[in-house]
Amino acid sequence: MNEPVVPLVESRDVSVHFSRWVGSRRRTVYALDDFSIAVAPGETVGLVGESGCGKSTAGRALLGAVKLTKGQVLFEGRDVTNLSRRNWRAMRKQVQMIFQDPYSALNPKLKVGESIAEPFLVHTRKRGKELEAAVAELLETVGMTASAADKYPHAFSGGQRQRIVIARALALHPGFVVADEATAALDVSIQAQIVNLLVELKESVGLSYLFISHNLAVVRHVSDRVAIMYLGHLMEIGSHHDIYENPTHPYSQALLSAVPVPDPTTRGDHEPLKGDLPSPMDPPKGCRFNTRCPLAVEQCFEERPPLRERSSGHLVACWVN
Amino acid sequence: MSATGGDGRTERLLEVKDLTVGFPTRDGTVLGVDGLTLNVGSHERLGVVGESGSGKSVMGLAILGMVLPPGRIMGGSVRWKGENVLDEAVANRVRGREIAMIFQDPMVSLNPLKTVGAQLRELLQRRVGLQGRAIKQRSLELLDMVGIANPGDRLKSYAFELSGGMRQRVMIATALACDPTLLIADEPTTGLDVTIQDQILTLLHNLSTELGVSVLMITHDLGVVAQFCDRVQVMYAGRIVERAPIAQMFADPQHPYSGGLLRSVPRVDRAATELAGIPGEPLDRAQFPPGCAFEPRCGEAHDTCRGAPPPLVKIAERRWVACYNRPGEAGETST
Amino acid sequence: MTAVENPMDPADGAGTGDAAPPESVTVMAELRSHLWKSKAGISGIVICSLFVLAAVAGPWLPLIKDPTKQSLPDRLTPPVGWGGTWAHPLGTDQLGRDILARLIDGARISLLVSVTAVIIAAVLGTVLGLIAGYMGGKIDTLIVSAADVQMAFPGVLAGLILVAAFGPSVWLVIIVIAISSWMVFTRVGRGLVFTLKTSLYVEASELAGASSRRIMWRHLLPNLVSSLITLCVLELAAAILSESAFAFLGFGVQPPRSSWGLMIQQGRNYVTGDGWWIVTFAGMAIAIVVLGVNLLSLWLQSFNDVAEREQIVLERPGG
Repeated sequence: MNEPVVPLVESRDVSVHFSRWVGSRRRTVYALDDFSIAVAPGETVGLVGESGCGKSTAGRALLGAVKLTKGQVLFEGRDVTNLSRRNWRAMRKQVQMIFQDPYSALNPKLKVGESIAEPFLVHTRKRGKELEAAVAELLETVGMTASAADKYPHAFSGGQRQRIVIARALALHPGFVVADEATAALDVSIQAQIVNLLVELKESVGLSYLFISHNLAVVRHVSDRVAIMYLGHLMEIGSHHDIYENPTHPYSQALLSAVPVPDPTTRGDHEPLKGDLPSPMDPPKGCRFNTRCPLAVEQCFEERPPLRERSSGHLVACWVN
Repeated sequence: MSATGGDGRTERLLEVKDLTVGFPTRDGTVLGVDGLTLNVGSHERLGVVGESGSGKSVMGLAILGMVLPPGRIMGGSVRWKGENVLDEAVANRVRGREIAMIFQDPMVSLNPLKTVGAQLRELLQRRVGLQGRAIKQRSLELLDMVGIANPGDRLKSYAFELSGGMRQRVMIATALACDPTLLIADEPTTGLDVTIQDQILTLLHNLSTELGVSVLMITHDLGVVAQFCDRVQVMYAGRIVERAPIAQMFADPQHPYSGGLLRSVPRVDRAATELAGIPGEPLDRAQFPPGCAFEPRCGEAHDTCRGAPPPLVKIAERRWVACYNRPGEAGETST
Repeated sequence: MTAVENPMDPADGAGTGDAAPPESVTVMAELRSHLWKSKAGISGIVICSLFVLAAVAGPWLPLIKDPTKQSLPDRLTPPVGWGGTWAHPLGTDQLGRDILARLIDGARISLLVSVTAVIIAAVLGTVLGLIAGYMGGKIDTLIVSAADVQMAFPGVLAGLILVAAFGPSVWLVIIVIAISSWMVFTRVGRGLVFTLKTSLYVEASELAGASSRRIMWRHLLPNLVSSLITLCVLELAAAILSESAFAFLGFGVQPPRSSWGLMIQQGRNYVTGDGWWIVTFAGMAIAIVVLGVNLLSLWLQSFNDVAEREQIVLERPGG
């Protein structure tokens, strides 16, 4: 994205470290390091990586839901890193989140309508009939009937619950939505419905997404730009085309070739990436991918490669490729 | 991974016929698996693919005569090389020896209180009858076979000390300890990271080729099926709706559900196209229509579909479909 | 130990999977059908209902005498079967008062004290538990330390001190019992909140900008209620015992009103000889009611577990 548009949301060199007790020792988890990303209005940025790569932490950092160790988050060009509680509350209307597990994302003791109404009750003066109408409209927006409002979540399947979660996220017309593995828990036939719904809503409501997923195929389907993360570091970021047609980082290449394609004609011999993911409590020095990288040279073990622009908007953090 | 194999002239190992598993509920008995027929030949990798609630996991356990109570096997037969596996004595002899099973979560089959070495030792003593030094040697060999580096050190590890991929490898090693002829793998890579899944699938593929082990791969992932299996059966609501060699299934699915499923999966190797999805929601087992269970979600349904469930019929060589819109060759119903 | 030997995979159970469970079965119907199958539940309900009936309607029941009416000529009449008459089915005490009438009057006190004390303890304890669990940090440390101190402090001693300061009364007993059991609710509530507050719906609510009060009240509390009700019933049994103990020690209700603990205290001089029935019937009343309440809580607990287990089976995604 090169246009001089002010990004809707931007993070600059954000790091999130936290400490955790392991046995009797306090260890630091390096969840996210120097994470910089910008999401333009109307854009969907896919954030891909395996477990422990910090993608969920990154999403929460952009929403101000985790404490930053370092760096800034900007919303519409305004630094919101150290906003007071009151100002954050106002910000809250603009950013929302959709979760992986639709089973735990809805309070089982509240009727669906009550869950969806919560953002209105917190931020607006809508009450009574007006509120009911707003809830009904939201339910219809996500493809459900208004009568769903009077039922409890247990009456709905996973896909329907995810629709309800989306309705709640849309209540206050946010500009920016973080979808954290929003379709991971769903069956494929339902996943397709939800993916289509998210794409439709982007157009009709005018949303920007940070679409966090481990599923490269879904990300390819929904994203304008894609960022690939490994152990808290951004490895490669570029347009949809850059990443899928011309992956440059050895990790991106390995990741893409590891995905089983639902087409037996694509079978071919490829060498799976060796080794396990290192622990984010004990990340390797230098490039974090060096323990598994088939191309690693001495420099990779010494110094962290910076993200360098290869072509317009295509950034890669690798000494070799 | 090799190209499509399995030419249909292999020896039949496992023959399941009309297997029915019921679960009593307050709304009456609900069938988790309904009249399921399946054959696995030697040196074959058969995929069973279905979404949640399709009964595929229940099927995996029922084949070995294991159904979690209160569920029970209500009918049908399971034959292993001609012997009735539903007979407890036969099952005890076959289970874990000739037919081994691996699960999605290795922690359910690995003992958290014993080291990997201790578990393998127990297994090799009791099941295989190895003694003394042979045990250690075989344990090391097994771990080496599943691609575990430093097998000597790993023998001293507990399951919780291992990563997810490593645990899955250990579970595969325990499953291979008795030289099984068939491995039933129930979602063996679900929940693993994609690069680790790739490792495990490649390992399973190589092992099945090298050791000549047949694999019954139960999964929800069409990608896994496409890359791993020779033949595939699609399950919906406890029944097989389509059975075909792998290439034909993906090139030309016949059942509307199989087609819908394939059009629902986004592909990593292709630019975005519209995902079709399948309208509606999977039904609750207790509310099944009397006819085809897919009928409420099917775009091609007509009156006949609401009558009785369509039988699985042969429509071409090695191709079977349970759909009234795909009439089969006369007189050929499920074998 | 092969994989095969462990068919513990709970995956897709009855195959309900992603499909929505039928809504026809309400919680109340479920509760009833579960009750009929449980002998403990039925016994508990019957005992507790009789207890409550006696306490509430006792004085208006036919044939029940005035519990305070003394009649020295009738003193220490044995119960029916041991030489007594149907005029005093359970006999009379040392002042000729009808034992049955006094037991029923005592039930009133027991119920009043235990229920009031448990309600106070539950409200106070739950609120503190919610705050400690949700807020964490210094507030949590403070509340937990207070609970620990209270846990270690003997209730009888607290009672003694308060009686010394304010003189004996029923309200005092209620307060003493309440302050010696609130921390049970705090601890359990806090533990539950620790798990609940990591659920996504709480995070969603926080992201929506909801206040802490709102999250505690709307999201956490309703999910605590079923567990805490079971705990209330359990604490009720303990409170009935405490009330008797305090009455026995003379801290609580004063004569001529009666209480089971007081009856035991007054009857203990006669226990070996000519008035064994006073202590016996009061003691039996305590034992039976406590047993009944415990059975009830046991059943509630098992019902909660079953409900939760079913919930898990029905709602488990994937498989």
